Amino acid sequence: MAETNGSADLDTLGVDWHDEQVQRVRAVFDAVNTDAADSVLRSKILGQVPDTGADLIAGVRVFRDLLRVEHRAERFRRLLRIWWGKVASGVRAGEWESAGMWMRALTDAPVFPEEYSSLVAEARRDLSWDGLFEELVVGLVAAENPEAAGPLLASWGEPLVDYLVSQIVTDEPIVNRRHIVEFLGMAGREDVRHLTARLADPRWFVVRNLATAVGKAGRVSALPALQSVANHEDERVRLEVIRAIGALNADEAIPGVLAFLADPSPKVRQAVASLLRASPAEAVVPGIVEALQAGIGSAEDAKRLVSIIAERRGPGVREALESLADRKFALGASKAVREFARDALSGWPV
Amino acid sequence: MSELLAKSFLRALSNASACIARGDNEARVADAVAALQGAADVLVVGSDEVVFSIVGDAFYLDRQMLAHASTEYDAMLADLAERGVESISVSRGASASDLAELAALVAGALVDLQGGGSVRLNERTLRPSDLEVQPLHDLRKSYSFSLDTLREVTRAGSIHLDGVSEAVDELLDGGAADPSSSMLLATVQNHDEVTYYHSVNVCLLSMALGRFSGFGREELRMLGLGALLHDVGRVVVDEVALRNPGRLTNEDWAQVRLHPQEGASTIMAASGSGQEIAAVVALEHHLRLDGSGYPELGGRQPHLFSRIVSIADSYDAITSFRPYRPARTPNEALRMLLQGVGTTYDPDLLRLFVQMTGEYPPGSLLLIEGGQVAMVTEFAEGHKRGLVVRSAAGEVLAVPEPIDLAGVTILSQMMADEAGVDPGSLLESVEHGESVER
Repeated sequence: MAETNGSADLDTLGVDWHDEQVQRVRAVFDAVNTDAADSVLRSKILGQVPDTGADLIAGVRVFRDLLRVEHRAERFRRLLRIWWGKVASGVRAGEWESAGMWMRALTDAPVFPEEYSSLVAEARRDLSWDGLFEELVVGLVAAENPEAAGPLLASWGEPLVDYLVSQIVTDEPIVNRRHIVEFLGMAGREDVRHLTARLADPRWFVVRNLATAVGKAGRVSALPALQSVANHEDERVRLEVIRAIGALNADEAIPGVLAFLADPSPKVRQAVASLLRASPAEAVVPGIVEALQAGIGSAEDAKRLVSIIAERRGPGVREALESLADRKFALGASKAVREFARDALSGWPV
Repeated sequence: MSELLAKSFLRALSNASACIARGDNEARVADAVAALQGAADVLVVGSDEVVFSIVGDAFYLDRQMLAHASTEYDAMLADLAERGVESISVSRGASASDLAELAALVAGALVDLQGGGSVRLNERTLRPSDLEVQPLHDLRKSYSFSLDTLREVTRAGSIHLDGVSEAVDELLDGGAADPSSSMLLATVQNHDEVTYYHSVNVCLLSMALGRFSGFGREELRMLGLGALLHDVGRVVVDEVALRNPGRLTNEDWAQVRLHPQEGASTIMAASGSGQEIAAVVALEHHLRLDGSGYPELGGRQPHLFSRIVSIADSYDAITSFRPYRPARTPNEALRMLLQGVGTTYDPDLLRLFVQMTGEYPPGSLLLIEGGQVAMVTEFAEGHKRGLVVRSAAGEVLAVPEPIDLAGVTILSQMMADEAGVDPGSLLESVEHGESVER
């Protein structure tokens, strides 16, 4: 393989065309602007060689092309069987990214003809069988990086959530429920409504686990649904709901959470305090002051809340502490609040 | 000339046996047998009989190996060898009925021929020491293996991609990425198994261009896989439509246009992790650089491998005989490709292809000053070499003579039939000459 550098004229590249043809071909190459020496050309071509992993992307793109151009029902069904096989084999092999990409080839921004929507729905149902779900969750528990399955679980959606919820309910789940809740959270990342729709479940333990999963899903849009079960009669549920709201890390959640400072359960109140401590929202300080003014049950609660204010150094914090140090409240641990506020102010920088 | 005549005979025999195997009507079979008789008459002129021998992986005509014909009629060769046929003697003036029996035997409708006729089996068994035995090029052996792999796809109705990958590996091990060897061997054509032979040729040419572009082994494997399977969708297209000497009907054409997506789906169903690229090539190989072509994919530019295969696909198609048009010379094929540069073909890749092949690609037959015919073995970037294969007196040389073609005046290009030489058969001679030179 000889190298030729320098001029790109065809007649100096070892192509000894007859005059007329040289002119014509040169004109064509000039027109498309490829007047590079061959070593440059080779580098340019090599730069387009796909990396490992790009093959899969190209394959998925072609599959979507096939979905788009196929207008014969029988052949379209065949494509769906292929899709089924790709996702299932990816799950079985623990190739989470691959399985996720194949899953999304069908579910993301659908490209197939509208008349085949029912066939697609049928294929998705066919894929969603307990045997495969079992392999999925068992494989994920053993996986080094289960997070890689996030896109797969999120795009599987409702059928997977159904299965996982059934594992919460059953006496002998296939894997530890802690993992099930983790996977539920991943399944709700794209459309958290798959989870929130089940928060009305009459079984307290289902609601509690779902609330945890909603928090792990991390979608702020789930806040109203969580708030709707925040007054659940079971304190274990309320506790998880507060933690889930905290996990959403949403400023707009703070006003709603403050109401739970008066919850009868100390665990719930402690959870609320933890949430408030972690929240950077401006509403935290005035909200706590207001709650203290309304009356806090125990001195321990009062101390915890005053310390949350004191830990902050933002504008208005000193004023808030001063207002607490001076005032007498009609209800609650008024004296304790004043003392804790004064203590905090004594260490406050001048 | 004798190798070409032998090939014509084998082609006529293959055609007649195919007619019988398909159960064609009597008139059609009679026409095919008449053509076979005509080929036999021409072949035996000047002697009392000719003897085809089957030794190892090759046909021999009398003592001469028919290397390229052995590749072209690889399936017939393997079938006859398996059935214990070691030689076929054809006497001058062989009768139509005896030749029809031979065709029936090849078709599997007979197990033996009647003795004492003008066509006889295993009458003269030659030993290897009687023959001009030369080792078949490894690439030729791997070519046959690739053909078998593709035949298996049709037989099974599905693809076993690991098997196809193995065929690609064998081609690479056999030297498929060497441009001269690949272009010489890629002159193989078979009229009955057009798609298989075309697919292997495109694979050879694509890998040669890939290697010339600087690809490593792994990229060549993936490229080769896609190239070998690029037309696999054709197995679902009506073969009659493909062999139709006239223009395709709208219905046939619509069917033909579906083969990229058929192929891509078939590969997709069989592909494992990392093998999907072959489906990409199958779907896109009729897509032009500017995004036009078929199927309609929204005007996007094809994948690099698809652009390479597109060039190799067109080159092989243009230089091959088709029922509806004659084959063109390699040089004419290059000119036709250049007309599509920048619109149909990637200009960078086409430029590298032209650099790789030179003006007259390996296998080109040139009538040169003095009246000799030379076959080009290399004509790129200052290396212009060939073999004189026919003397000025029109005699085909048993042992081709090397010639430096630099500065030699080329009078015209010739087709193989016109020159009386089968360039692909000289692959082993070229290899031998190069090793002697080294």
